Amino acid sequence: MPDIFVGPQKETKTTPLKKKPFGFLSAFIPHPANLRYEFQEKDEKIVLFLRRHFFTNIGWIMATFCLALTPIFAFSFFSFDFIPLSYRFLGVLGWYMVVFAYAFERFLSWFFNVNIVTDRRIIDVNFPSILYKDISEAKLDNIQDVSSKTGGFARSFLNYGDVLIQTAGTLPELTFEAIPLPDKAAEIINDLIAEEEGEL
Amino acid sequence: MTPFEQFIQNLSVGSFNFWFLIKILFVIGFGLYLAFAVIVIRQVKIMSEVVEGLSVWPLKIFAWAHLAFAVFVFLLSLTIL
Repeated sequence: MPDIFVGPQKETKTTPLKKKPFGFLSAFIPHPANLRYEFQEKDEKIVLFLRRHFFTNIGWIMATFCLALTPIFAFSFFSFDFIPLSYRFLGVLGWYMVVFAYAFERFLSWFFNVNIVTDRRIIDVNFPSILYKDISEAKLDNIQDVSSKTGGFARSFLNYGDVLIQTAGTLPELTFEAIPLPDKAAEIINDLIAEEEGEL
Repeated sequence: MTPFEQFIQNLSVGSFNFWFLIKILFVIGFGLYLAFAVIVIRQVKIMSEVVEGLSVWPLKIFAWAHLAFAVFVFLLSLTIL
């Protein structure tokens, strides 16, 4: 049937992801320059580098702040005169060292628990505890479904959420937790899977 | 004198010294913390090897400064307590 009226076609442009230098605390880095991971192959390219949104750190930052203020409040409300000065001094010093250790460990956990998407696979790097690393990966052709999930006030307001990746491999599911722009990340992974299927 | 101060004074009589016990606990605590500070350096090294290209030098500086401070506090606990 002939068309009576054909309107001007609008070009739907998706904003291309440009290579750009990334900051120390960046959580969503497309095509990161000069970044390599431990088991990367020679002709393999990192398409996306992700870590949890910085806002997810707010809990331990607040806790650290409160713990840092505790000795000030304790010394202003209670008298510790029965404790010798040297013990008081070292006690406070020890307290602040433990608080620093807590904050530093939490920061390291955030900084190094990363998700990497390459043109061949998806890698989830986890450090569940001190000196223990857990790296899970799934090849793109083993991925069956990619979906994103956002919910709650902070997640909706700051646009971060989870990306769930169902695989056909031994590992049933990979989850990118609390990453910025989860829809965009899921879209990029889906595009890569489509490209991978086109090549086969 | 508060009841707690009285209690500590009673503990410190004779050959047993309450504050000496606390000193030992402090030194053991700071010694364990020193070991932890060494582990933190190793941890930063292992973590930074997984992804190359991240700016990890501030973290390495923090880890080494943390170790230096832990050594200083450990030595301080041995001398001033």
